[in-house]
Amino acid sequence: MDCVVCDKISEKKAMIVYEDDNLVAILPSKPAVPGHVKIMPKQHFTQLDEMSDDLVEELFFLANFASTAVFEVAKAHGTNIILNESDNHLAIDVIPRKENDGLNFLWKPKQMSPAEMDEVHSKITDKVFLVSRGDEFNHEAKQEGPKDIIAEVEEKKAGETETPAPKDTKKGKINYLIKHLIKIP
Amino acid sequence: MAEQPDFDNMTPEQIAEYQKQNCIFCKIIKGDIPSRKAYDDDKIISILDINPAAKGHLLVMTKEHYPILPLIPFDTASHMFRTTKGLVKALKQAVITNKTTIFIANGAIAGQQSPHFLYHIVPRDNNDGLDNFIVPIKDYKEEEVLQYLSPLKAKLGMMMRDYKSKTGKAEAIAKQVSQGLADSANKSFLKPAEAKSGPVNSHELAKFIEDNPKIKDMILNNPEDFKKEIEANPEIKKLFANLDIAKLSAALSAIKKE
Repeated sequence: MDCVVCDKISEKKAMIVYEDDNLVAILPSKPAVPGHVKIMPKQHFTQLDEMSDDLVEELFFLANFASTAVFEVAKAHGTNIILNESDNHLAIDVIPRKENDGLNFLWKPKQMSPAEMDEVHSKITDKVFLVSRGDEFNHEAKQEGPKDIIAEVEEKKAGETETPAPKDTKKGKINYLIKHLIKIP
Repeated sequence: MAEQPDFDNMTPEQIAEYQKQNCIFCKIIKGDIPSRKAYDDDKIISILDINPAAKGHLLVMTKEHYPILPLIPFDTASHMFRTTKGLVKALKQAVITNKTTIFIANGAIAGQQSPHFLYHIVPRDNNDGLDNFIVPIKDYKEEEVLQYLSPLKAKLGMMMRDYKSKTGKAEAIAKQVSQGLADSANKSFLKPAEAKSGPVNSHELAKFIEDNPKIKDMILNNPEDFKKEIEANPEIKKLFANLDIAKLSAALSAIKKE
């Protein structure tokens, strides 16, 4: 696979400010402003959801630390942390901000009717239910009301047909979202 | 009622409390203001932005009021970042795209519009017109960029070491060190005769060092100080009797490098 970023990481042709087994943080040679830090996983990913939970956490913590560090080091009055997924090597930009720095990342709000908002809302909640059966929401999910028998049966069925169960789901704790699955044909 | 509070004569805690009570997002979280929730657990919540950059634009925030990201406690931040991955996955399926932008603003100057820290997940599409998210590329003199290299290196190294010690990754490293120490203790600097007759064996010693990072640090970095410490503390003296501290220090740092 041809990836300029991968090449640069392996050749270490960059101004590296942090590096470990999984991540690298550099000062881009053409930054938005001096003090701009770019953070990348060493392995080639383009999508956040391709990465392991651990790596996602590390990536964001490093971005958070870079943001804290540039406040002091680059005398920033604020910071932006931006992750734009694309077809290229995934990266997070941490940008120190000052007054009149000529940068603007803000958007114009899109006009949407309440009906349109409701429609996309229901699509998202449905997918959040589905995704939450996997590894992504294996944290302490709150139970909403008592589980019923159908939910238990559904859970067993889901267990049979679905790929590996979440690694560290708390024993005996049924994800509250499971019960919504019975609504989905 | 709409009396402007006297911020000048308030403590930071009082100001924080005032902000909390007047925070629109705290009210949304309490349910006093309606919202379209996408995700909700005991620590975090995600709702649809009422002024979206694109259809499906989500806000993610902690239930507890924190003004900026660095103030969010470690466990909550960790949970939030991990859950974000799931939200990104679900959002992509819901609006049928394979791209999102995650946008975080710390401070008003960066575009933070509320004193309750939150961040944005915006579904993206080709030609969606959201070009403002593109990070500009500009020319600066090399020395302007390079001036931040070493201070950032020092800070990030320190912060990530601290982070890894919190996540238990450091424990795994310590275990390796202790195993390596035990092995090399048997091989080299602990004389066999003493290992047998002495009050502790090398494994116990390794465990002791592993359990006491301060001591490990001292052996590694200040062997001379550590020798003084041994003389001052009979307990430690017993443990480290007949050991060549300089050799121990060298062995430890050799293992560390591996």
